[in-house]
Parts: sequence; C-alpha cells; structure tokens
Amino acid sequence: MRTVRDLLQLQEQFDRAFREARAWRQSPAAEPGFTPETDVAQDDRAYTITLDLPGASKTALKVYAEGGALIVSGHRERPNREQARLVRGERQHGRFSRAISLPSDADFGQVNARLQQGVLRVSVPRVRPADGGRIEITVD
Amino acid sequence: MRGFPDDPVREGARLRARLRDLLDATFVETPRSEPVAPWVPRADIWATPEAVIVEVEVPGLGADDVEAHVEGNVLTITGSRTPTRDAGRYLERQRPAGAFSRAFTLTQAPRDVQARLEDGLLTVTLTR
Repeated sequence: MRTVRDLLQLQEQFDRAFREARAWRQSPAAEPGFTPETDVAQDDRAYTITLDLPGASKTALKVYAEGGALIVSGHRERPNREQARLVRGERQHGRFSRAISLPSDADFGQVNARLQQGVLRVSVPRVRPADGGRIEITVD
Repeated sequence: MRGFPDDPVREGARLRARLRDLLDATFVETPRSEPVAPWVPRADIWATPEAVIVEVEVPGLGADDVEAHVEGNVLTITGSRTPTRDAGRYLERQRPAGAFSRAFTLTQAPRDVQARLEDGLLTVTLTR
C-alpha cells in the first residue's frame, strides 16, 4: 500500500508542478529584466553551463540547485552616473533568472561555479559508477 | 480525490516513461555546432558636459582581444571571441562568438581617450 500511496502522491506533485509552472509563466511578476545568453554542454563527465553576464558582480549573483535544475539568478543595475545623461541604452539591466533542467545523473552535490571576465561557468558532474563497478539491471 | 490506478506498477512505469519523454523533448540536440547569430555587442552611451562615455559588453574578452580606436570623430571598437569548445555536445547554444566591429560617430573629435576593461565590460571615456 505504501507504494500505491507514494505513486499517487508523485502524480499529484507532478500535476501541481505543471499547474504552478503555467500560472507562473502567465503572471506579469515573472517577467525578468533580461535573460542572459547561455550555452549548455554535455560530455561523459559533466554538464557545463556558461552564461554571459558582463558587468555583473559576484555578490549580486545566486547559483543553486532545486528540483533537478540548476538555477542562476540575480540582478545587475545600470551604473549611477551623476550628471550623465543616457544617450543610447542597449544594455539590459534589472533582474535575471535562468533555470536549466538537467537529467537525473547530474550530481548537484559537486557543483563548481566561477565568474570571470563577465562570464559565469558552472560545472555539474555526472554520476557514474566506478570503473569496473557493476550495475544491476531490472528485467521488466 | 483520484481513484486508485488499476495497476500501480504499470502506472508507475507510465509516469516514468512520460517523465523520460519530457526530458528527451527538453534536450533535443541542436544540430549546429557553431553559434548562429553574428555578434553585435550591446552598448550604452552616456553624455556629460565634459565627456562621452561608451560602455560595450564584451564578456569573456581580455585586454588582448579587444581594441578601441579613434580616428577623427569616429570611435571604432573591434574584437573577437573564439567559440568555446566544450567537449561532448551542446544541449543549448545561444552565446554569440566570432569577430565584431562597432563604430560610433561623435559630434566632434575628442581631446583625450581612455579605455578600461573590467568584468567583461569595456568603458571608453572620450573627453570633449
């Protein structure tokens, strides 16, 4: 009975998560200031996530893992230039947030993040069995 | 309240299959390996009575990769970024790469030019 209840609960959780995601996308408050350009690469050992964040400071940046996704959020403000007038403004400011869902073999316990020259690079290792280790396969 | 599924094990497998399909759909491999769009770095221009300040976003570039050049009343900024060569394959690729060149015309030739590169942001101050 435990399994049945767990499964039903899981299904409920999925339904709720999708409902909430839909509601979130439709709410105006969800509009971020901008969305940084992002690369996501995958090799045998890790997922590498690279975001362009020129002018962003480490202290205004949050990187965390939640629900199987890597989340990078923060804010970047337009510099306060006394007596200067903005003649042309192409740069984007304000809040930003990106959620990158990764497959279940992502090991969020070993994440490495580095902000350098305005580029944030996050490495999330993939779990794999030790060489020569045995993986039991269930026959359905 | 939803009723019990006929067969909880099969229901579990179905749920798992749906989840797998969802993940597969999320991570469809991008066929290209090179960035798509040409790179036009975003810029802000500020004006004060004494100077014009041009801020250009050049994330990932070091001092050797970017150049600011003034000729008469035209400021030209050029640079290039080598596409990152990550091992394996890309699940998503948005960051532009390659060479860029942007020119800004000023109302008059500046008396002095100073450039500073910090955190992927090039700031050029042109004294009037």
